[in-house]
Amino acid sequence: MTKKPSKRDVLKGAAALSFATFAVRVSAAPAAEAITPALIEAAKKEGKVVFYTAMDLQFAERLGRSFEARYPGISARVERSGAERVFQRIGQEYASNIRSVDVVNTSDQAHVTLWKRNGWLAQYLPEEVVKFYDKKFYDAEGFELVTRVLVSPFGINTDLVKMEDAPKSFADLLDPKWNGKMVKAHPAYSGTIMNSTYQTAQAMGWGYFEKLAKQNVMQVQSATDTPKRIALGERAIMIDGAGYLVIRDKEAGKPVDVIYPAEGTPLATSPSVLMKAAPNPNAGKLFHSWMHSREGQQILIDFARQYSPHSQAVEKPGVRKLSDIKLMTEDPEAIEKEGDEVKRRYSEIFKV
Amino acid sequence: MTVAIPAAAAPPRKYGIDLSKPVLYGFAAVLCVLIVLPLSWLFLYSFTDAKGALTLANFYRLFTESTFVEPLITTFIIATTSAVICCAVAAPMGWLVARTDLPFSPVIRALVTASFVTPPFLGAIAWELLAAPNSGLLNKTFRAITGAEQDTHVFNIYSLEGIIFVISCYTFPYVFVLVANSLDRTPGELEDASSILGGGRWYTARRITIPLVLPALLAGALVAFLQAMTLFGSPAILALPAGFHTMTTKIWSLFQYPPKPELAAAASLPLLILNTRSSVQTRDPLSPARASGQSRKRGHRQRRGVANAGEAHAWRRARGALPDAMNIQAQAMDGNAPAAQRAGGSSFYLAMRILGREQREAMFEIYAFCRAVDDIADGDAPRAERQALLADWRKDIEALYAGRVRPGLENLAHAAARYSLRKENFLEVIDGMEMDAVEDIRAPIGRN
Repeated sequence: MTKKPSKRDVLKGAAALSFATFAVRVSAAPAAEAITPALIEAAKKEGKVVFYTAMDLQFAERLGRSFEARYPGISARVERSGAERVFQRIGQEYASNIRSVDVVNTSDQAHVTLWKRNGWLAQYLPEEVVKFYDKKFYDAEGFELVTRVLVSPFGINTDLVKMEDAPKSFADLLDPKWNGKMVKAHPAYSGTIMNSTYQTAQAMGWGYFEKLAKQNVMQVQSATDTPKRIALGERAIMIDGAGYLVIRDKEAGKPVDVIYPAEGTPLATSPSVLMKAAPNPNAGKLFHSWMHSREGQQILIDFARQYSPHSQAVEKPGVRKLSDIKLMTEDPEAIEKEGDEVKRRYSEIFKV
Repeated sequence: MTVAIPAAAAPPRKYGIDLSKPVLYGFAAVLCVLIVLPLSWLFLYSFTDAKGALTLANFYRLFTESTFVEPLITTFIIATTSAVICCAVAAPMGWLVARTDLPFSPVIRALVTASFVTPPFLGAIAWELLAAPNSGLLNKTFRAITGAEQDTHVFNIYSLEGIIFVISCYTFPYVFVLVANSLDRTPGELEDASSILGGGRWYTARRITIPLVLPALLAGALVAFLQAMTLFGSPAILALPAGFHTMTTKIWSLFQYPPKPELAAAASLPLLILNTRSSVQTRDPLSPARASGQSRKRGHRQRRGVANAGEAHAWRRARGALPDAMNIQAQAMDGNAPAAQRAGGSSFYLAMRILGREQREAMFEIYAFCRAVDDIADGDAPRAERQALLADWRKDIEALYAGRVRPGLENLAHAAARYSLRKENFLEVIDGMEMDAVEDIRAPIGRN
């Protein structure tokens, strides 16, 4: 076993470095910029854009191809990998003075916080974002934009429980009739679930989970596992998990449906950033801007079935728009600090 | 070490370089890198905190916090129960396949091997599809047949019993292979002899077969125990939904972000220590198995004899293997030393020690007889001479039963009287030998 620097070590070292180098940094809100012919022209001169992303491969590739079709002459190099790997890779590249990436999408807000602290991020606000995004979905200073929103609603198997009988709120889940019929993912194994569990604990209190634990809830590892369990009919109700997978299953004809709990639906946002030292700054801006435009966001909805923060993007019929969903509040900083405690308490309560 | 031998044996070369030392040191270095280094890291990690300072806090947490103690207990329960189940299932199966003419036994062996090479997690997924309480095929079928309520189920793979079952499914091959191999290698003639001496099937099993395979069985149980203890594949799939952790899934969970390698290292040490200790202990019960397992190549070919001992051909069938299995010197018959001493030095002697002294001596006498007549039959003498010698033996046996014991056969006579052995059986052996002596070339089928 060799001692690999943990993410914690990297964070610490990088933080110390950044404080030394960028102790004084004044940032102000940049002016919103539209996609102008001049920008397109400059981007075409650079000829390519490099995009590292943690989104699923199929969607990432489609996004790249659509961009190339929209702006001929600019090739999009899409590198897909897990959020942790993307984070490590950028850290390694920057440590060896390699500046090869223009735009990055991650699923871990903590990564963005660190990059911002390191002064690696450019400030850029596309016009459409300012016009059509809720303020909680972009950084006023333009350091980051939310590209996709992962919501974690309830899911039900409609063969096992009728929509009208289904639980409509977190409080409903404590009804003894759901004993042994629910499945929940574990915060120790999934970032999305860490978010949803923390938000639920904030909204309902830890006492809620203590009562929920008495309901004989099946535990699985990942946010993508729970939708599978209800689709199979192994459990009737999914307490949290990747909502978009339930929607995909429903559209594929499986007997499942989503329910947005009355107290609010937990969410996890997946932000994108433009690098300050981007080797293709104009192409980077163009891609960043386009990905968050109605056009890019519609691809997100149509092909990835994920939620878009863009208010003009059109949801498929029968799917509730993000703006119509009562959402809980995300707090990535608290999770960075209290994540361990959340896991510990959760293990104690659910005995796993 | 063997590497040193070529170098030592080579003629001294004037300017040659002695490679033995570098090679040895090279090996030692490789061993260090492969074993000592990771283990040291594990130890070091387990005694440090997140900042790298020495501490015992990891172990304190490990043995006081219920989130660590419970997985430890669960793992122990799973490992013990699985080992017992594996033995209960695999030992009889091994015996059936190795010792009887069970139909399709090659198929059974192949299937056991198949479950041997199936990755445990794959098996766990398969059983998930079959026996998950609601979506499992078996439970669905049960509900369809009985018209039972939605939530009723017969099997629940997401339970302690379920995990034990799945682990046993993919661990029993260890016991099976050890038991079956051990039986393959120990001559079945011991059991034959027991039957000849009037031991019933159950008596034979209790006094011969079980003691013979016991070392292999114990070794198998230990291997199964350790395997079940350190298995990750099946628990990774089943434990969390079942609502508990085993040690391995707990360790895995400690590597989730943010990782706690120091706690994981501490948690893995009990497993490691138990493993190492058990492996060391395994060597002792195994050694007699090795000694008695110095098999005769012909032994396995004849092993099915015992199950057919009632048939007339059994004797002839078994005779080919007898002398080989015993390794008794030809002159043993002529010597006056006790039979046990004559058989001494044979690996067989060790196995025979499990019998009572009297039975043992009796068996040696019978073997000595078999050996003697077999040597005649297989000897180089002209056929007529061999037939004459066998005829002499026939007379000797007849005389023995008539009360006129030929000098040198007193012990055999004693054994025959003590265990009421039937004259016909002795004569049948000679009959079998005469078949050899009469026709030298026989189709293989005639033998088996």
